[in-house]
Amino acid sequence: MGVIVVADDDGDIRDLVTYRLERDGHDVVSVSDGNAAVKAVIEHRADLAVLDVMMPGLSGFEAARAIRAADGGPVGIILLTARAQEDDVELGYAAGVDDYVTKPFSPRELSFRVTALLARGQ
Amino acid sequence: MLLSGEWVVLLTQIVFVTSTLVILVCLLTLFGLRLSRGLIETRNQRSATEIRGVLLDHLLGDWMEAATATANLDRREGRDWERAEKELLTMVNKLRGESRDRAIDLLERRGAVDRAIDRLGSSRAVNRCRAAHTLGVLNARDHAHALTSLLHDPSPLVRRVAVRALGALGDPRTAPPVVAAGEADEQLRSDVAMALTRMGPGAVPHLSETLARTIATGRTNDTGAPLLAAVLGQIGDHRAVDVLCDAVASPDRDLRIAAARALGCLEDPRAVPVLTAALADADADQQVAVATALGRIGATDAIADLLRIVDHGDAASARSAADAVLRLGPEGRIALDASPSAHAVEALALATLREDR
Repeated sequence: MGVIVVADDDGDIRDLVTYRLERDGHDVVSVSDGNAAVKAVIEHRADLAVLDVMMPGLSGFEAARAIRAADGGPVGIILLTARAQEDDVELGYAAGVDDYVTKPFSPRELSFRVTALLARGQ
Repeated sequence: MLLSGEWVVLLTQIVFVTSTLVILVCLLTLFGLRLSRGLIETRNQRSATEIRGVLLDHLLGDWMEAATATANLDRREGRDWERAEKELLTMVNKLRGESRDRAIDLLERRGAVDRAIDRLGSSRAVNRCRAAHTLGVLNARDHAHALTSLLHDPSPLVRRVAVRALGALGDPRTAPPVVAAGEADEQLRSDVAMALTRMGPGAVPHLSETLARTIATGRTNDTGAPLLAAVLGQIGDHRAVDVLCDAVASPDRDLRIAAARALGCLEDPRAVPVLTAALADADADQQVAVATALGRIGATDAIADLLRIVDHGDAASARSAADAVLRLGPEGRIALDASPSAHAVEALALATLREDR
């Protein structure tokens, strides 16, 4: 179980992801923009961040880069995005993203991926 | 008897007392209104939070929680259910898998499709929009004909939502009316393109025929032919190669570019001769599209023609042609090495950087 930051400007997505991950026993911090996501990851020493790409402030790519640049512990990053063209995926991995989940999303699939990523980090 | 001065004082006092009372009544009314509005807002907010919790249990809870939530939702009627239905409809589009199935089951069981069909005839455009959106979300394929009738709606917004809903149904049999809607209304074309792409290979015969007909009649620009070419590329069905090759030779510049890009998406070697010939066109945007397509197809036969663009084309064309040659494997790399062009050197250097990383 870990501390997870969920960042999405869509309240429905935040609620759905938070509900599912809390059900799995994680502590979830939910925010609505990229800057708040970076701040929350550092402040809460998060184990993982689930980031939307198109957010106010920093985009998901920029937030991922900022999280990687911050001198914290190892953080897993999953992008939850409707933008899953090859170019976007390449951009995401270049920014230090570990995994992609495409919208519309399956909460169960997200849960499996989060579990797998956290297990890899331990 | 009162003296005139005393009358004035009395009148002033009456006016003062009356106006104070009026102001007090107004203030009290305002306070009351604000209080009741606050109470209503608080109640609505509490109700929304409560509904949200029940919906999340229904969509994501374990079987016990889901069953309790379903029973709770089944008891709701009137405005209470309408609010839940509205929230559920916004959430459905964001979900896949089991949670989405649960939402759709509930909406169908509670008669959302029948209500949407009734609302299609509403005099209010907003109701017709909601109805079309609901039919799309619930994938009500049996009612596709009802949605196609909305393509002639007087409201542009309703027409747009109907096109999107038809795209969500993805039924290729509705391609002809959707194409016609795009031909008639330029504002609808990007939605039409998305809807047709979602219809997939089943729509290809109709799209190819329509494109061939517009090329033959020469009415390519005012009918959205470039968009049709782009859709054919996105769908990626090789049956479209012939008509796209014809389109590359069209007098319409936008269509030529869109068709070249589409052929690049198809990556079909049959397009190589037509594309190689199209490289001779002096239009820089077309050269970029054609060179990129040749690179994606892997057209090693076109190396010499591409190198001519690398060496003599304008900056954008030369860069695209160099990238294309680079995609053609060792043969392309050797050819670029021999080129004196700065664009060839740049492409090779960038490739080396990428490989090192």
